[in-house]
Amino acid sequence: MTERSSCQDLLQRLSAYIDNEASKAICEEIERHLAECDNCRIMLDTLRKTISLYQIVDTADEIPNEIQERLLKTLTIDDVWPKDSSNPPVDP
Amino acid sequence: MDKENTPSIKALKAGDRDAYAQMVELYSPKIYRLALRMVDDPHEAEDILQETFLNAFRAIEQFEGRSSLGTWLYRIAANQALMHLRKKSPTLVSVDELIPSLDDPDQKRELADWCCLPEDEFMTTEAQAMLKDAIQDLSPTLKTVFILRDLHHLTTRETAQVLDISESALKTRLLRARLQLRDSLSSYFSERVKEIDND
Repeated sequence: MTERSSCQDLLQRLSAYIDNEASKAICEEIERHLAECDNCRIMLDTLRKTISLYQIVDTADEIPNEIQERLLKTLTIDDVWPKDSSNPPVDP
Repeated sequence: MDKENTPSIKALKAGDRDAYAQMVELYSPKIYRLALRMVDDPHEAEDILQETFLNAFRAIEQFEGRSSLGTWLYRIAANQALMHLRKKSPTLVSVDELIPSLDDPDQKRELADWCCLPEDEFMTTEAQAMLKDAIQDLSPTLKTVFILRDLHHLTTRETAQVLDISESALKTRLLRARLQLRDSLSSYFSERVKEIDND
């Protein structure tokens, strides 16, 4: 296998490797290649960094109270909203 | 995806309003964030949120339970968001399944390693704006895949169910989305590495 085709193979398998979805044999093959190929190592590191940067800055699944209130009114369930909800509608 | 506090499907199908409220309480923050990440506009995201739950309430009778309730709601929301995006940019509907080749001239050059930049560099207002622009530059389908898989942490199977595509097609699109974002970030951060080296 040429170095170039090895790099191309690695690129195809990068997501699976990052997501721990690649088999043990493929992981070992990728790691052997990474030990000898700077470009692929940088590709992997910068790809991981890219994903983590998005995850760091965008973590909260929150909804503003006023949007929640309007949703409940549209759905006409504002009267049965759980009383122990952490994000209850506020009376106007 | 959430299994705790999931309302009973039987109660939802029976029109139990408490079960509806429970469903909204559990999933509305996730659906709103998905919509906001997709369309990058709070007003439009609110429209998508409302359309999602209105459609879900109307269609709950037809819910067959082949996927989880959460996956089903994500599917309705993703479709609503895609419709909004396509209305705004009707030409942005194609999905490029090709993975960039390392034989491409751009890929043959030595790659810049910008991971070594100080962490502050990634958090500047300019860098954050660039991150936001890069994700909005993805095609609607690639954006959906990246958001569901990497930001909402759905599994490969769940994401494929939401988009009604094979797991293999999903993996190809995810790689494509990640590589496109990496390329966008590399253009910016590689320059920052050079600027810092020259200082």
